[in-house]
Amino acid sequence: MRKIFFAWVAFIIAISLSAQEKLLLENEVLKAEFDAKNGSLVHFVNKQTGWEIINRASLGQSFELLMPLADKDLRFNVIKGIDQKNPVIERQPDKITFTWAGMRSELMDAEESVTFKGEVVLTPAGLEFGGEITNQGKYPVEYVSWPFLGEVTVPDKGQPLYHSTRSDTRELFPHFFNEHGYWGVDYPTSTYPLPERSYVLVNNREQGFIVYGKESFPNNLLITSFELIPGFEISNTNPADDMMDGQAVRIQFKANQIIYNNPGEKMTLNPVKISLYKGSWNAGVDCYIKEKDNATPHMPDWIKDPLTWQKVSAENGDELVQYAREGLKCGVDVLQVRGWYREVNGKIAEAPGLKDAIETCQELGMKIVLETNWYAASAKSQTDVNEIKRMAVKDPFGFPYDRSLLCPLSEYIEKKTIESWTKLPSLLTADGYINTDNNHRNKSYLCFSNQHGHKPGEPTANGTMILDRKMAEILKAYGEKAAMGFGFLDQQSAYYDGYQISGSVSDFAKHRYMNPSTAITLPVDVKNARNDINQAIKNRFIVNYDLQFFSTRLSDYPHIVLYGQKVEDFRKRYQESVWNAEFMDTKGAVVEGKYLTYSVFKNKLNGKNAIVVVNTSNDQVTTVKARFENASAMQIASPEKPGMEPYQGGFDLLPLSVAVIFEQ
Amino acid sequence: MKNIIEILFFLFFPLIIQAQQTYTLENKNLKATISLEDGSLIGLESKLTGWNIISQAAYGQSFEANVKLGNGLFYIIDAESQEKPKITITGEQLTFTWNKLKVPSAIIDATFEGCIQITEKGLVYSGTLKNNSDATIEQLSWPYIGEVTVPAETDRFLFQYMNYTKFNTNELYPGFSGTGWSNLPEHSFTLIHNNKEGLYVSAYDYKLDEYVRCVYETLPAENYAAVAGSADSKKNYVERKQMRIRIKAARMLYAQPKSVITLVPVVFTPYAGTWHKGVDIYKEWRKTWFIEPHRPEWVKKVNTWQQLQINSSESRINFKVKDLVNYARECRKYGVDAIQLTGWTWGGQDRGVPSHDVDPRLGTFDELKKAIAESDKLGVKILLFTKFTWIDMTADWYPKWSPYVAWNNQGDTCIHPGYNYNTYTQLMGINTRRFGILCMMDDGLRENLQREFQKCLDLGAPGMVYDENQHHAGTMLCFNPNHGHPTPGFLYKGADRLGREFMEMCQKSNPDFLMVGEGPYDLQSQYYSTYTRADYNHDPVLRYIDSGIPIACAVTDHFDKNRINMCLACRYSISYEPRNFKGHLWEFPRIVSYGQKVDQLRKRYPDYLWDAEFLDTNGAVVNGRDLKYTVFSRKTDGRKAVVVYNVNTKESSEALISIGVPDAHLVVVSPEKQSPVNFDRSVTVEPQSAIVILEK
Repeated sequence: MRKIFFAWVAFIIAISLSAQEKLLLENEVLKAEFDAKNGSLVHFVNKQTGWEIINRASLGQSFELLMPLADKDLRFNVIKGIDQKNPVIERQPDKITFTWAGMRSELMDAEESVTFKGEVVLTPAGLEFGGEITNQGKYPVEYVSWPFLGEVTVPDKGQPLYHSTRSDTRELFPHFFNEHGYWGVDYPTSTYPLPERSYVLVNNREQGFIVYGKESFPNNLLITSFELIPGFEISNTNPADDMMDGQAVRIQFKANQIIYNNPGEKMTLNPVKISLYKGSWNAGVDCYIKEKDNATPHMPDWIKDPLTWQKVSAENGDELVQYAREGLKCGVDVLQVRGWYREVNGKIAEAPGLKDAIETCQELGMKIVLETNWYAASAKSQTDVNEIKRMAVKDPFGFPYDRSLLCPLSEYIEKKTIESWTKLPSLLTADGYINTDNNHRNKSYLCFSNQHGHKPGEPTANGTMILDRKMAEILKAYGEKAAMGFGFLDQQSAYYDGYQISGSVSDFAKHRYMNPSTAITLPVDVKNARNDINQAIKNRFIVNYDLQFFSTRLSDYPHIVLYGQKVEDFRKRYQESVWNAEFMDTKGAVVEGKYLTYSVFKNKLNGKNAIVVVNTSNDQVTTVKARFENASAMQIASPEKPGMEPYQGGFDLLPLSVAVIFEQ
Repeated sequence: MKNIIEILFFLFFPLIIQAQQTYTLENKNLKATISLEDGSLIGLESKLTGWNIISQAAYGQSFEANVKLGNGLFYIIDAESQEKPKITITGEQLTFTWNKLKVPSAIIDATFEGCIQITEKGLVYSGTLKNNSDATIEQLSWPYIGEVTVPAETDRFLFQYMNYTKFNTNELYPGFSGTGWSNLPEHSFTLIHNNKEGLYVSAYDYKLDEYVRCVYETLPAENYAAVAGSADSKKNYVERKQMRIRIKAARMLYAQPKSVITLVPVVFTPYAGTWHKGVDIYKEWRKTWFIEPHRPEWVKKVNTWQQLQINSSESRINFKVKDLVNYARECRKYGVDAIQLTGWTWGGQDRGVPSHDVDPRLGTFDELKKAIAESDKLGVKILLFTKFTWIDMTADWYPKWSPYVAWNNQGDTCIHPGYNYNTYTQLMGINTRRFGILCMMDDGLRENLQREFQKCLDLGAPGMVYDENQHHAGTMLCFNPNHGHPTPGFLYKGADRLGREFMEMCQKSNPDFLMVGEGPYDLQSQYYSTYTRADYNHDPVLRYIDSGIPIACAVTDHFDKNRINMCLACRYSISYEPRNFKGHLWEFPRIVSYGQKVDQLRKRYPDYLWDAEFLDTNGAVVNGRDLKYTVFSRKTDGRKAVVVYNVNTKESSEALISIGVPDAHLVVVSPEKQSPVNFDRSVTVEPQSAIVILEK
């Protein structure tokens, strides 16, 4: 025991480090140097690529706090870490702890008794920033910016540098994405909320780093921010040099943890991880995937197949059966139904004859998935108006973010939701449901009500996930039901069988890459039908007709339906190669040709790869040249020519068409 | 005898007309065919170009109305579902009268008398709606053009209207825009065009009596299903060509039970040429009502501004009132004439509105008044940023103002989500201060707002910039029955009254007080000059409408010479805004230095570049890669100036320039070389640089 104690003491060197200039955390992946006096991160290198993410020590930063001075009505009181007294530093082999005690800014008359203990832990892939804040002062701390990178250099000015999340991609260089109104920021600024966006990836084609929270259900919202200082040189274009008009050009990054820490409270921060990598974006996302909750629910067998869906609106049972009969003729296997319920006298009431109609549909061979919505109080609701006012998600001033959005953190709402919905015969009878809640509508990330039984300022997503999981468990107990969502949070994949995707085509591959087996449906719009269907093939999504330009009847869209049928037949014929296979994004093959986009699937049975290649041009035929990394013999097939043909050095692909190249 | 014949003629004329089934209204520009069965416009042709705007009589439409019965049932009806209207013809006008409008479940005691008149300006639709029923007639589309074909040889077919001093554009072809609309009279006019010819739509309504949505809808034509989704459906826009566009003047009347509404005249006419020809139609009508407001002398000369935020809604106090004069001194040093001072009111920018008390954290009323006067002595005008459009719902005085908040037709208060400043929490929208949207049709509200405005006048300021005076966050109509206006009240009409009242207050307190608005719509030009934000790709529509109206435009980036050159080309005052208007002029010295050269050039040649008539691109031809240009015409003799600038940031461009005047003596000048040098056809324009050709 004494040996352990002394060994521990030997490792923990809690001494004055004023004599040293730098503190180092280093492994084969990274090198991070901290100023031994003020704790700022002054040098940060991705050793796998040589990228000096921070290379100007003068730009080093440590942390920031926002400590609004309520008694002076001064909300913008920013405590800058590098302006504080030097921290006490504790050093362990793979960890440095900085303790800053007493906080002050130029707006304050006296120091406040607030202590921030910031921990930096070296992990195999990067750094983990945790910490603790102890507030014995008289002002709350609204957020802590930790980590705070004083600059993120551009590793290669010959190519763009991006920052992206699960659901979008923005540029950092050469055209910094400015998200916020000019009136409210000094510099071009881009922010993302986590965990809603899962992660923030900073990357070019060859390397990057990824930022994400360690916890799946964090106590705090995290807002990441990038700022281009001192601004654009010309319209929407970053300065070309390191200096502009006498100021250092840099992109600052902060992870702002929204904690609403009150006087008298001690709070532990959710650790923020920065993992560095070499390679394409996939390598960065791999860091996140390795650590996320990769549990998947038990899925009904039917949702695992490449079936064809249709979105319909049915206000009564007869209408639903009509859709089912027509859909079956047109190759539709599943109906996703909206408009099937109303709120009457504060309770959810389903359309007349719906349960029987669902059973009829099922007998005919049509699956029925009902759209649900747990938290939205309908504008036409008969619910007690005062109840809606009381239970709406509230901002710090007591106003609802959205008049009709109820607080998912409230046990009352949870109980009422479960009671209302789980009694609906149609929902119990249907083959599944898809919950359409977008729970951060109108910025409702947090709820500040003190009447809902939760801490004011708590993330609403936490309530969402708890209730979603409960509902899935309850409803799945009624049979082999599919429980689905709208892709709101990646964490929902732990209990949802899938979701309906939306957003930019360029982000589709990320969704599939992150969740290889989850059922993702892609709505097919009339005016973009072939492109949508082709994207569904490329990304292993379910085709979900959402045809309503002038008619909702499939018979009015013969070409779309015919193509959809061919695609389903094709995917079933080559199911092991393009459906049951592992999605590799573009890894394992190279495809050349104008207007092309592609993905690679690895057959789990024989290890052979297949390339799904899409010609996205509306009107141009293009020549496809493809090669696998380890194969020479190839064959091609397509939904319109499903028989295998030999690949002979290239082939022409018609506009808005798709082909699959099989490794032999 | 003659009288008897006339009487007989008028007695039997309607019968004669009905037998004819169609009637043609025609002027030199258009030929319109009206069905006498139901008032449908079944033919429309441009006589200027031969453009057959309605290709098939079957697409003809008459009127359409949205009706909500007293029992809550809602219907959309059209002329086809009505009894045949009574028709009268007087001169060049057809009048259709539909008595007892029919909805599927009832006949309602309402009469629509719709007039179609041909004038030399176009086809004019007006009328009267008498609603004696208990129903609300919410919308009435009149005119309703059932088809607007895409003219032959069209690359792009656009739906454009003026908003924030420039065009808002929806591409109707080859793109697909679904459904959208402009607002009349707010947006002055709407052009549906291919920049070779077009259709002009406007409302003769400078008093803002009616809110009209000019709606476009894109819908499938008969053969759409035969091609949609096929492999080659996008090639040569095959699929798009199987769609049809229609245009409605949807009058948002919400005609209440027992009400009578006289419709404002809506005019449309084809024209030939670029968008300028369409705007020329508006300019002609504008001359009949527009009265230029009195403006101080300093703004009539070349002038330059800075915008500066002193405080924000998140209490980001940038400096104190006592420091303002130092900023004015900086302005003097850099040749800047005016500071738009933002955030001086209680709570900072976008907090505490519409209070216009001086924020005590910044200084006192007297201190600000003194700073304004001292700045004025230095030759720098302090233009106070103001805002009268909202009530901050988090302010202590919200209860006093809340009765003036507009209601929508569901009876809900109309709320604006607020604006985000500085802190990451507010940038993410977590603690944004929401606004109630004020109904300016309430006389009591305007009296209160006048008291707030008087505070600005009392400060002795030489002017103000009324931020967001150009909109009401999408709330067009107010249904609050407690405001003393008819239901619904048109907020824009209230804003017009407020503008006039403010102007009258200025006339009493300080006639030289400059009232500026943020991108006001043109009707507001009667009261307000303009502050705008634009990039060089915009079409300077307001400038084309009014060569002399003061327009200041933001310059935000450290060396964006293109923006300065655009100001030169469009006769905009430069408004420097370092660090998104939180910084000092010395923070971007290069762009200020270049701006000073441009201002010097304008001051040297004001007759060509400042006091001249702005022609946009008319009157000269300029060829060359990445070049933009505009033309000015000197008022004394019509001699031209052509401002040419190269927007490429890296490569120079060779400009070939002609003003179409044989043997004209042309010289070239530039911000860097202001002495004239003879010009002969072409000149090299360096990256991000400008030259000016002057006709001597």
